[in-house]
Amino acid sequence: MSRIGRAVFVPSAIAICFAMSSCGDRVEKTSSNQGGKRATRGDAAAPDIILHSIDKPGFDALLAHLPGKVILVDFWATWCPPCREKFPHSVELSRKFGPQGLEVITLACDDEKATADVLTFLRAHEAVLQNLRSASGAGEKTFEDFEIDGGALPHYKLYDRSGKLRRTFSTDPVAQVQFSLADVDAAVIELLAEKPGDAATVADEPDEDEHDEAESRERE
Amino acid sequence: MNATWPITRRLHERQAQKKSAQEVCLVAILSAFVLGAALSPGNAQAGKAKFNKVLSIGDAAPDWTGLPGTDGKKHSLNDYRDAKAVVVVFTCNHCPVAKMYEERLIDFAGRYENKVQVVAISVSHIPADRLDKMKARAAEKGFEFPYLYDESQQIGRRYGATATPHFFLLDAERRIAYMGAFDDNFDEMKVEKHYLIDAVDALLAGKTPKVRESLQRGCAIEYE
Repeated sequence: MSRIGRAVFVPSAIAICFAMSSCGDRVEKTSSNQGGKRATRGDAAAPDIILHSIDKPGFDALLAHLPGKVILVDFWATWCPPCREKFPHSVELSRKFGPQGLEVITLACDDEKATADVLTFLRAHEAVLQNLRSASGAGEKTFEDFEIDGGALPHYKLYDRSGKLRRTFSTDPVAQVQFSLADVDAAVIELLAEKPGDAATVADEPDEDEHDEAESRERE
Repeated sequence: MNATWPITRRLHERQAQKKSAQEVCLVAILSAFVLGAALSPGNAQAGKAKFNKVLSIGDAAPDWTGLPGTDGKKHSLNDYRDAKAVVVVFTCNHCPVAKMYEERLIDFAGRYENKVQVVAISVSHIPADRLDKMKARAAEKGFEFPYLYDESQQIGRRYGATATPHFFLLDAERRIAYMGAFDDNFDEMKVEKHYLIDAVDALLAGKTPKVRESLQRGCAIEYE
């Protein structure tokens, strides 16, 4: 996302979320420039790494305000070594496919007390992305609300340009072959190439799909 | 026969329709029950489990034989046949969440020593998680329960284990009585729901655990 785009988008997202605050949504913003403390927009110099605390309704609202984007959500946590290893790949995807309409969102399943650690990690990876932290932290509510299969991180969700959840990637004790980052890439590329109306004809691979049956019924 | 056949056929058709309508009703009622049961949080009494793709509450626990332990011996589930209950926990050395729960697990195993058999299993291929490193960890922390390694990862798959740590409570008949997380918060100070301990206490008192399933949380088990 361009700097200008972000300067417009982020305040809008905050405005939207604050407007919905009567519904119990919470969005807090923390900037790496202040080492974890609140900061105002337009802070100088350093990479614009921003972290929003968000709950599920806020997350849904955020996604709804990204029309026409293919959205990849990377669910990770500072306490999850495999997540930390895979994280740079998400940053790379954002750089590579951002111009084509990919929006990468990271969501840290970390408690509030870990905010500084989250920011340190984001800054180290130059994660100039839409970075979120679940308001419920590492608690079970996060994993249930965001439907993180098997409570296992890392976990990815991929939404098409119409905002529909099309793929999830998570560890699967039933699958012979586990998902790889190459699979994520391929799915991103496929969805970026989709024209409006393609969605009905492009079939998702059943053994990689973690969707519940409602998803496939919806497609038919 | 020819004259009456259409009438007979219509009669049969009506009977068949009535029967199939009854069948549809029955299926609908049964589905409602199953759906209702499946949707009630944490209490999957019938039908698919909410958070486990492989096992459901009440299923026979997958068996294993001859898994190597950190004590240098081979272990089978049958070794613990005299135990009133068994807690199987999929864990590993390296995952910070699994490490966070080690103390709680040790404490639990100690307090329930003569009542419940705890057995920890790792199926991780990460070098830091293999048997030699497991031995070091078991010695360092003073694990008083078996810590087993399954190179093939099959036991993890058969339990539908997805993350470390992931807990399974087996009753006296070795059926799954509870599965999921140990409790509801990594931060011990903030725990409100002691899922596993409550389930164990219920079992030992001859009751059914109130909460039979919760969502396990942790580092994904990397199957290969």
